[in-house]
Amino acid sequence: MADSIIVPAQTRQRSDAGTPGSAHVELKNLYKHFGEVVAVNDLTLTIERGSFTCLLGPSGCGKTTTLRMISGFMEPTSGELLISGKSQRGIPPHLRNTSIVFQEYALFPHMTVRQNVGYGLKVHKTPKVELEKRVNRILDFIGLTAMADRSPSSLSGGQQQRVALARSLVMEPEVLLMDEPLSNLDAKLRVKVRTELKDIQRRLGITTVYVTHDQEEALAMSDKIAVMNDGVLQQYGTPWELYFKPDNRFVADFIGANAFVRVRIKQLSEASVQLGIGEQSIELPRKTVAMDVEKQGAAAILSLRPESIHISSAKDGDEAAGNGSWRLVGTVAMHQFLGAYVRYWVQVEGQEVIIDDHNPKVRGILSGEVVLRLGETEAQLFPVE
Amino acid sequence: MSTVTPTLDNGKRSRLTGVVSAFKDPTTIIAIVVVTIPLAVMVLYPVVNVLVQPAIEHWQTFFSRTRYLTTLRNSLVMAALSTVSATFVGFCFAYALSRPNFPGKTFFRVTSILPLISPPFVAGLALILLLGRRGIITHGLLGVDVSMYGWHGLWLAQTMAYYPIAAMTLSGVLKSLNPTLEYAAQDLGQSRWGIFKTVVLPMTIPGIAGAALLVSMLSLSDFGNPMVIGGPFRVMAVEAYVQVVGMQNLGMAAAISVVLLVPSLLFFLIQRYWVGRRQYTSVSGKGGGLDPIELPTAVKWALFAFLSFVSLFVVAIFVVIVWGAFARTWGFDWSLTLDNFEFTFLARLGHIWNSVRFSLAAGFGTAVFAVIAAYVLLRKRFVGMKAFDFLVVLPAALPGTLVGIAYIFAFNRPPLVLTGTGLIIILSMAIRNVPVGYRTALAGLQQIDISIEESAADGGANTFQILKDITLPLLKTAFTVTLVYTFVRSMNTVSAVVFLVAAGTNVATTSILGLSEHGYWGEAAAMATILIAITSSVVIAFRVLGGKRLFEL
Repeated sequence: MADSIIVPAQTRQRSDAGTPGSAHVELKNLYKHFGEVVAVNDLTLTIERGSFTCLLGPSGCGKTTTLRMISGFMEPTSGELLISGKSQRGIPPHLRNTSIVFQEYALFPHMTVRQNVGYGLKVHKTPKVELEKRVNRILDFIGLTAMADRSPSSLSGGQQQRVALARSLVMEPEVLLMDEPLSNLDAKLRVKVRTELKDIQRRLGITTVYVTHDQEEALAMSDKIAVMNDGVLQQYGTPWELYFKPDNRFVADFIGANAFVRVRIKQLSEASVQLGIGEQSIELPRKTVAMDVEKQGAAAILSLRPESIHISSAKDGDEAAGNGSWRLVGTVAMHQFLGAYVRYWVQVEGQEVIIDDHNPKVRGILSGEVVLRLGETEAQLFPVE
Repeated sequence: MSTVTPTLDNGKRSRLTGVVSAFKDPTTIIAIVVVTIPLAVMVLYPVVNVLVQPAIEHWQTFFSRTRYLTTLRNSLVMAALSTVSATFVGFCFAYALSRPNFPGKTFFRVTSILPLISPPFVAGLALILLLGRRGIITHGLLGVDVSMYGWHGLWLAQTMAYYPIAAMTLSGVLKSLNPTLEYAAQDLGQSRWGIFKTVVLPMTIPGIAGAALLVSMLSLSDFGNPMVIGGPFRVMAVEAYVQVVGMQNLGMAAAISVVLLVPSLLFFLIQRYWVGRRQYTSVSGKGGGLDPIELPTAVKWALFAFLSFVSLFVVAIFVVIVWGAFARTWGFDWSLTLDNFEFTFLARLGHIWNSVRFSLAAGFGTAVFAVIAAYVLLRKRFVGMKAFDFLVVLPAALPGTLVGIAYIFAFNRPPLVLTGTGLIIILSMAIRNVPVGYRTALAGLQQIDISIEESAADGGANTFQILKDITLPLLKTAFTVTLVYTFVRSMNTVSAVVFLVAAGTNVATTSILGLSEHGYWGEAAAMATILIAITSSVVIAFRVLGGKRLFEL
């Protein structure tokens, strides 16, 4: 499945010591119950060695619980968890080759930066000379040597985050776990620190499992993303796959903006499916349809990315809209000019479609009746829930 | 004594609070005056009065006579012993109750409330009934002849009376620790004992110091227990009382109370300027729903056994008080009777009524005053804010004995003659609870965003209208908490009022002390039972009516 997809070049250049791409962390039919609540429901996932994998989903979806099971803070109710092929059942956190970076950094406030970073090594009775060497090396690596003897509370949020990371990395774990590490930073800093984190991860080639609810963060950093909802894995794939080939409506809705349009299946053939939207109709190739289209007359949901639809004024004729394979007519209800693009809310047969025009300079702001055109492979069809 | 002790940080306060200039808005000046004048009259004036009272010869006598030096040594030794034991027991309670896998939490919480809402000397009284010469255990069960009177009985009584306060303080500190820190340490390979030693304990040390200082101050100024169970082991609070009541030597009593003030003030200053700045409160969140790390099984059951022992002792104290109230003649005739209550209703009902009405008045007064003081400090900017804050919390540093003796000096001559009135008792009760009420109100006010008030000001409301329509309704919680808290504490207070009560203004606590002093155990127990019934009903009613947690771990 992944082969046919264009993978961004940067993620291919991994410097991995082991066998890159082989299974490193394996979750097999993992369940976690809290009383009546099923926090993680039959989760099966293989995380590749050296990869950066995101667990993505809304709060309460089971992503943090999954991370805690990998770290050893929680035991799964049932199922198997393997790291490097070895079952982790009953193995406490400190005996696993994992290290976790917490959302709130969890730096010890009564110790200096240096003492924080050296804490784990001291616990493991590392000889003093070696301890100092390793701490200095990692502080240099994250660029905080100058802050070494200060208290964590005198550091900025981003710096504290790097100290927490250093405290984990100095232990040279096989698997690095991060639990929403950027959510306490402000928006601008978040973008900066996520670039740094990703850079550090790539330079070390360390297998990383990263929990976030921020889809943009996940898209920007990950090799693979596992989208979860209500404890159930929704889709596991590259950012590209998740964005352009969502397996279901939840994934389509959670990642990026999407317009969902209720349609009726008018006609089915081997090659195509014809859909009715009110009085209008469009045709999609059968192979792009994610769902099992059952029968004629059934209702379905058409999912459209705002940026993949071309919009033009009805007055200018169809040619102005570009070469979409199908066409819908609607009326502009509202627009917002956002600089780089204009977002339109267009009424099509009583339903709302969101369209982003990324070339506002060409056409100006449109109003009244508009023509929408779309490439036939850029829509997804989902069953009605 | 509250679990909430927000610290003031002038640097962090919003600059916006200064928008309303003191000169444009006369209510600011009025408010400052309204708070400062009563404090000057009720705190500074009496304290200065008592400070200048002892003559040179009083000091010479105090520091040359064995009698006084012994009481000084006794007070300090007892404070040290009780502080160590009560803080230790309190820490065990707070730590065990902060762990997710500790059994019987509700039982331990409930039993720890009992000593907080009853007069401290109930512990002493009960120890005599339990373990004294005619005690139910020593005399009744074991048939041994021991005496509880002395330093060991007093130590035990103070430990039982004050461990819940240490537990309450430490519980707040332990709750504010982010459990994620423990998980981070565990993840890095630390053992559970190692986590306790290198993470939990170092971060709790300022809290432990704070709790210890609090217990020291309480033990030093305790009058009831030494009176009931101290016997030959005389401490300064009792000596001061003997000087006033027995020898009419007010100058000597003043000297003693000033000596008592020195360590108390010192502890207060340490608490304020050293401990207060070393609290490690977590910056954010509660660790994403993670519970603190569980106790190892052996430690869990060891702690469980220890806490059970202490709690059962507490239960025994209260059972024996109630039993004593119904027993015909303790130690000789255990049969049940209502005679003791009959005596109380016939002869001492007035004292109970006095306690109730004085405490109620003190509660209202303290609540109103504390809320105004907190409002002025937090919402107005003026020169001398730090001094203002210090003045409001200063009564917390004053031992009850000092307050009592100072009030005798200050208010038995013009311009203010209050001796023998109910008002002097109410004031002595109120003033000592102002600091706690003030801190509670500060905590409440800090949660109210200044922008709510600013938007009212924007709409044209003046300070008074904002206070009436916006702030006061929002401060209702702080107000009721202070009211109930002050009421309960005033019902149980003894060390100051014992100097101030007159024939018509005697209160329940001093009445009970008088009865037990003369060996009327049954009558004393009956009155104590009624007192505890009143305070616990108030606390339960407050809780049932939706009030926030009070006197709880």
